[in-house]
Amino acid sequence: MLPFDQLEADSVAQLAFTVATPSALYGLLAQHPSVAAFKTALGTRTIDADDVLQRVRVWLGDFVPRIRFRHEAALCALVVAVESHGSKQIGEFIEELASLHVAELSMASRVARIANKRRKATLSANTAVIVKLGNVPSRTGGPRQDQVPSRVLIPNSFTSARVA
Amino acid sequence: MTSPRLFGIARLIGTPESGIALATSASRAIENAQAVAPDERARALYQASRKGKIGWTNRRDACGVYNCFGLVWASRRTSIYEVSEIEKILSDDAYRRIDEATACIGDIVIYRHQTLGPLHAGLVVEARLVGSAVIPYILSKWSDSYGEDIHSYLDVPQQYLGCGIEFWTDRP
Repeated sequence: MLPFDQLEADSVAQLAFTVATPSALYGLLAQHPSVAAFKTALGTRTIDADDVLQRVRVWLGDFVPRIRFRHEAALCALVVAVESHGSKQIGEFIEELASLHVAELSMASRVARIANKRRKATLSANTAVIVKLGNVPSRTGGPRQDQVPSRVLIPNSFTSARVA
Repeated sequence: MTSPRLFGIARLIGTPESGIALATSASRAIENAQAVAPDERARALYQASRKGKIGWTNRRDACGVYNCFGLVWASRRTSIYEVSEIEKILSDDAYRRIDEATACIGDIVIYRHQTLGPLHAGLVVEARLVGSAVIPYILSKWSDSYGEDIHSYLDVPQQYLGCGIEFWTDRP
């Protein structure tokens, strides 16, 4: 079974339909084998961020107003599975879902809010700052050592690291 | 946000989430939202989940609007989702833990995961004599998309296995 199909499994949906609190649903989905399989597929680059967004677009084709979104359980599982992926696209996907307040996606939005909070905390803790120093003066030429800055201050414009 | 709106259709034609005025005995507002109707797949899965549950008595088919916490604390008018709201109600409405043996009709049961918190709540609607034991029977609405069933407090979906089962009362 393909990773996206695994997220649509009945066992994922039954979990989403019997657990009433988004925090508990988040925690139980994080332990679900379908989510683990999806994370593996992401880690081995069998699936990338474009595939994720493309599948969500396909799912949204089934959106019907005033009816529970058919793929909501899979969407909850997907959010949990991609939460720690470092790409900007995935970050925007989770953030947009988290900002939604529509009844058809009420549980997925709540799970996304939890994932978004965790993602931000994890990524900020794993942020790497790469400082590229060009034209480092040699000892024989260039300015004196006391004229070369020993510390470079960079404002908070970090590049997100990819989190395993 | 710089990318095209992925959920544009949901924003455009979706139903804005809305709740009702709901508060604890201490007049603290309880965050809530009314759920939309379940889709066909949810209805089918609900029926599938009932298969083999011979001890369950159905009260109502799959429907939206309220979840288990809305059944227990909001008269089936809305859904309550957040753990913080559940703890607020238990505290403000002066609920206290009781033993299973002293539970009576009108008390509530909460299925609580050790680390993840509450998963589900139901109302005690019957104390049934089974052999020599009195077993509390519970009225549950399994989610904001499933239906209502009456069941033994131990006869629950497998997702609750391993949860602590807590009985609570608001009786003095």
